[in-house]
Amino acid sequence: MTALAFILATLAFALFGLSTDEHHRKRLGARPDPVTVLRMRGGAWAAVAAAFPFAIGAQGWVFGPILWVALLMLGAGLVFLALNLIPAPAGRK
Amino acid sequence: MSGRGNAAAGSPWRKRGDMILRILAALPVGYAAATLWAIALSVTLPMRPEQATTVGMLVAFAICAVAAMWSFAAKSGWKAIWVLAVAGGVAAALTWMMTRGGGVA
Amino acid sequence: MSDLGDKGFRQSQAFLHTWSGLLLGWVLFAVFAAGTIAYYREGLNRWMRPELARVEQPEKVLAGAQRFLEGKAPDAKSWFITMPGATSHGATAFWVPQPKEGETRRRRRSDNQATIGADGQPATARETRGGEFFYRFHFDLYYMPVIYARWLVSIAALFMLVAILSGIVTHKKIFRDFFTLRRSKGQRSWLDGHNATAVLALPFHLMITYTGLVTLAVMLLPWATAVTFPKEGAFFEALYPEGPAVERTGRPAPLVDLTAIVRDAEAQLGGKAGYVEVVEPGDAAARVTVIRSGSTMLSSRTPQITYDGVTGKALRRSPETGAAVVTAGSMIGLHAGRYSSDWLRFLYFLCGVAGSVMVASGMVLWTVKRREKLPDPARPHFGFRLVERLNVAAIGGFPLGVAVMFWANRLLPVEMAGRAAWEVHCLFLAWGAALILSIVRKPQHNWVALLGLTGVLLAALPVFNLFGTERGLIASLWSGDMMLAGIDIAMLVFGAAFLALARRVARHKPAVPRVRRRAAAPAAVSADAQMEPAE
Repeated sequence: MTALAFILATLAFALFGLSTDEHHRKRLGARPDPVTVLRMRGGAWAAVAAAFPFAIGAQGWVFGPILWVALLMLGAGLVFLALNLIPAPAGRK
Repeated sequence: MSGRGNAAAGSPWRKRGDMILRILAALPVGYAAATLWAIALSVTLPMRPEQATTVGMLVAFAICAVAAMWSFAAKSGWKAIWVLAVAGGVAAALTWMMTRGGGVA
Repeated sequence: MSDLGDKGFRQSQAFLHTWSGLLLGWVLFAVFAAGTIAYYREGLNRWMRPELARVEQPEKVLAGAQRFLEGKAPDAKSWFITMPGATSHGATAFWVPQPKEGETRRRRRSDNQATIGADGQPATARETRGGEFFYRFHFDLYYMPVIYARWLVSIAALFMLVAILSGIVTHKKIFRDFFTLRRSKGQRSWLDGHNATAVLALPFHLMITYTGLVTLAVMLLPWATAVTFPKEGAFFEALYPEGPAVERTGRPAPLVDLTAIVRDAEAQLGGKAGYVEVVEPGDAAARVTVIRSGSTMLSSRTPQITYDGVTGKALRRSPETGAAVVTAGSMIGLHAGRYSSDWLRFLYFLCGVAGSVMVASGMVLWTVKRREKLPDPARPHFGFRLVERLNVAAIGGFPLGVAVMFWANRLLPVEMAGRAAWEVHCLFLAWGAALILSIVRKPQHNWVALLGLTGVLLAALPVFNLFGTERGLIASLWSGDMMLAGIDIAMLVFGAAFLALARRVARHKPAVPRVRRRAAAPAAVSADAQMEPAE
């Protein structure tokens, strides 16, 4: 349960991050068009919301929300580091 | 954003005065408004008095922070102060109503 | 500066953000750093007392505490025992003697306390404040009456709350800014670092600031109870009603076995016990109160049960607290993080580190931004110089002080009088030296010296532990003592980080700013004349 919530949280921020101009260009080739951005961010918010019930399932109603926020911060941090520190594939910069 | 385009608006004393007013709005006036609302909530909320008082305290910090933000967002230092004063006044009036009018003096 | 009222909303909030963050930023940095360290206060309590063994059997320690108190203070008015846990250094036993006729109450608890070690015997360990120092410092500061310190810290916390909220609304493109990290680009890199540490742990920062204010709510809002509870103490009486006061009868009666009572209490309360209080021990009217540990639930307002001290019968359980009080208690619980599991506590710690870096990078960012706007970069105005040097003193000095204090803990003679206080004095002596240095020498040299020295001192500590104590890293890992091992490893990591930072600063060579050409090529000058970003 916790693992699932964590995966969703990380996925959410990966989508948020890749929906920005710079990272989309670096990793996926071209600047994203507005529709893609909307879709990616919508998907990201959906993943954020989807992680919530799994966090509650893992730790109950008192500690579940805390776990949810913690996993979101953790996921955001990992994505931030990955996007900024893992070198982009050559020729895409 | 339309500005006050006359020459007097740019004088350093006026700017300093405006800044001082904003700081007064944020700190003492904002704090007073927050406390007044804490008191108002403590007598208005439909729960046991120690519970209501606790809620009032919890909310007061949010009011303090928002008051500070308002103090600097307002068009002028005077406006910052009087809006907060009115907010505090409403709280005071509410408290008065609940404690006299309701017969819970 | 144009009239503030003419600026847009975002700009006004950006102004507010800068100043509410800067004015008390130096206090905030020390408070944040100390609070972050305090998440491992129990571990540090043990680390700073290497003579003590790990507690494996809490019941044995409790029984030892009872035996000790029965021998030492059989006729005391009350005893107070902090229950030992897996991470604590032992049980602390306090006793309050009977008040004598005409004698005013002396508040020196340090005379009437003892540590009971893992074997149930009173432990002799070097006198030290341990991790408790960091916990206390982060709201009581030091060398001043606590009421002033708490007000200062609270105002700093309110400034920080305002800085966070105004920082959020001032953000135009939160997604783009959030993931951006431009490296080696001077001011923009500092901004990105500041944004990253701020936004990544934003829920934590908001929570910790707000809940921090809540912990001191009664002090900060004294008039909030003016209408509902005008009488002094009435508010607390309503929140936490006490049972009837205990009257000493004068008839001696043996005290029941505390371990049995604690076992029963833990079953009834649904969690481990945190504290045991005995009132009028050895008397027929003795009462034992067991208070549930704050580490077993979210709210800091933990329930308690009072037992008859002679028969062991449960007499009174604390009443259920209402929703508002549970909310406030949960907020305090969230702040303190005592309920957290090992990994969550580590995350709390990481968020605290992020917060400290956020505050520090914000203040450095201020000088970096202002430097490019200086009319004459070789002779900056007083305000700029003040901030630049205070930055060095606060951000470079406090970590150095902490490292020196840890060394004092290792090196000060064990029999030294006032040893615990002297460990703390060493922290402030080092910090004071950093302040003097920051006034006398150029900032860049000072950054390198302070950061480098801190790095060396921190990294050397685990090495000292290996040879100078029985609890070196290898011994800790071998015996599975992950807490002590973790602290040693953390010191190595932070030591290395400080050294890396010092190296970065040392290698940075600002180009000589060309004042004449400022108007022509501001971009080139500003890119060169900044400090290199730290990672």
